[in-house]
Amino acid sequence: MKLWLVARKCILELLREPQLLALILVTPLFFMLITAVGYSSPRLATYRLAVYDPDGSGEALVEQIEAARYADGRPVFKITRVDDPQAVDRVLKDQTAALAVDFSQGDVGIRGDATSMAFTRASLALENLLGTALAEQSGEPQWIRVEEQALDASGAQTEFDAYAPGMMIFAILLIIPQTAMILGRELRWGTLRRLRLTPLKTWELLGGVSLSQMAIAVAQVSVLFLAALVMGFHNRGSLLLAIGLGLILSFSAIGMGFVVAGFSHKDSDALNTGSVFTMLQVFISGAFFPMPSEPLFKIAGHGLGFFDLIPATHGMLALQQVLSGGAGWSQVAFRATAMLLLSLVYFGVGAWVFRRFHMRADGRRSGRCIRLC
Amino acid sequence: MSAIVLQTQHLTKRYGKLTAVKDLTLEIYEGEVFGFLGPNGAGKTTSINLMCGLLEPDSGQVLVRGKPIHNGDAENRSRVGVCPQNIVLWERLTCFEQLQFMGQMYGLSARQAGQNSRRLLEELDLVEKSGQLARTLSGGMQRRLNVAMALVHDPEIVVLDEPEAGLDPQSRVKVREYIQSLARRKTVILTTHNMDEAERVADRIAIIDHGELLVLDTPECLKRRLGEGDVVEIRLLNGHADPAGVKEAACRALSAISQDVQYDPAGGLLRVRALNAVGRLSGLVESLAEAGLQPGEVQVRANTLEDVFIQLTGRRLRE
Repeated sequence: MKLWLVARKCILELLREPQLLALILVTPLFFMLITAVGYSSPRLATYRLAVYDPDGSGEALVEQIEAARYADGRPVFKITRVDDPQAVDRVLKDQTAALAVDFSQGDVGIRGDATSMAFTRASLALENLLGTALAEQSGEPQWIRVEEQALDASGAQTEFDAYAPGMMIFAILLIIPQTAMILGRELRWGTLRRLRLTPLKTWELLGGVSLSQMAIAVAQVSVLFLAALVMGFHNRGSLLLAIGLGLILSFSAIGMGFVVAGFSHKDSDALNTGSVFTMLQVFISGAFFPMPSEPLFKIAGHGLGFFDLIPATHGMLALQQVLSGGAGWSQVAFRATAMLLLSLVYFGVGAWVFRRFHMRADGRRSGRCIRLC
Repeated sequence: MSAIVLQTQHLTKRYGKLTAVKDLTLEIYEGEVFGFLGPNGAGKTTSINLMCGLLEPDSGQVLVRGKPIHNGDAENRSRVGVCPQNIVLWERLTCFEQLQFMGQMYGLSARQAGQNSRRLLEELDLVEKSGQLARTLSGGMQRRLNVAMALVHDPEIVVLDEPEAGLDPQSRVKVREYIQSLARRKTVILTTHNMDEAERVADRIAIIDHGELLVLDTPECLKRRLGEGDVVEIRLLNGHADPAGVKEAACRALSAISQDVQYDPAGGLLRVRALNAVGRLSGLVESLAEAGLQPGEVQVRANTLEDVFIQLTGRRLRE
């Protein structure tokens, strides 16, 4: 079947172009490494506290604070004792402590930078801990109680666990410029015209290119998954499901590659334009950082916003749920279906655009056109 | 007479206000080598693209074996093999791989495509480069492979658009011999700027300019249309002074020998067409000398296709 032959040709060409192959695999790996280095701290961090207790009146509470542990046994707080009020100010300004606990006024004072996320998290945990301890001491009921619940051992997760799936999304989205470049090259070399002279049908050509790119997507997800594990990623889910999601997303990326190639005349144009498409989607999908999205409407109980029109947004959430959250098919079915439907639309539009601009005999007039497929 | 394999009927193609091909009607017979000549921008490549179905005409049609080529009929399109003017290859496929791939794209089985590929590589002296990537071949080898790509599916009609462009003499001879070997086995449509090549290999020649077919005949008949006899070219040593006067004097002096006298003042070149020019050469030179013109270098040659071409398309530079 010609589709397979085209796919084989594309893969052969790629394997003989080590620079491009390296770029496809190494760029996301490099980003993965940066993410691993930058976000290696646990999501449930051990917060550093400065304790100012000149007369030792808070010693019993300090002991309880020191004894607090997460579900995985890690301490919730690490305490540094300071001797004077100026030292409290200093450690807060230096950010060597997320917050300071002051027992000098006869009560428990909590001080810190209100704009600091570490302060917000640490103070919440501390307030809950102290509230329980004080209620026990006084024998009065604790009116407000914060109960922590670890979701699938999320206590052991790091920020890297949250962002590693984003790097896989980034790698898959690199298929956009790659697909566009492959077709752009056929245009520049004139080989597309050569193929147009044969009985090869448009769907066979684009199907073959798609197959080769989907094979690359599988390789990318697998390599990045293994690399992430080596870099400390705590996997909770199924690699096969992740590959499946990656394949669906690659379908939309290929479609966008067709659109870009449709408007390009050579590979360099296609590569540049395709890269812009990739970066836009990487950011919008939340692969690098969470994007705020106002729900505009609801489908099957899921609030969907403007960014949900992009398959990568669903891909990112689904992949995060699977790999970081240990979700199974039933939990990501909605996202996967949304991604598949959107991908089909993108692919269809891409194939139409490419065929419209590059696969028909030139010189249409009065609605007459030559269909080479 | 052989059967007609390709016909163009009132083919017209416009790009905005420019008419690239205007009412082109011709018939190409089975087994002939058909030369398609014209200056740059004359409409040759557009005509070729129309003939192989890459372009759709604004009016008229192209018939291959009586069937329109623009009806999406894959079998009909497979009857034509096109070797484009530029080298069109997949740089990272080997010679064999791309020939086999093209063959399979035309619907041949892997085995048949492989057999044809091996045969072509042998015929075009590329068998040793069979496993080499196209990007590593020399220009001449790439050009030969380009020709092979048009033939791998064994088409009835082969369109060769400037197949000798940019070739070294050895490769040029090889390609020319190969084109000659194709004659009778296949119908060859050849576009070229090389008049010698066209004259040597083509059975019939069409000359087009400004999108219009100017003449279509055998090379011999085309040359005869210019006139019988040989061409004598005489460079005049004192020819630059008064071009009109020089031409008038020359015409008067040579009236007994030839009625076809042309003068090119730029080079001081007098061109005289005459029967038995060699035998009458001394008389011709004497007559000019008596008329006060000083003949310098003298050259006698037969009519060439280039004379026909220049006569029809003029000396003005194109593009």
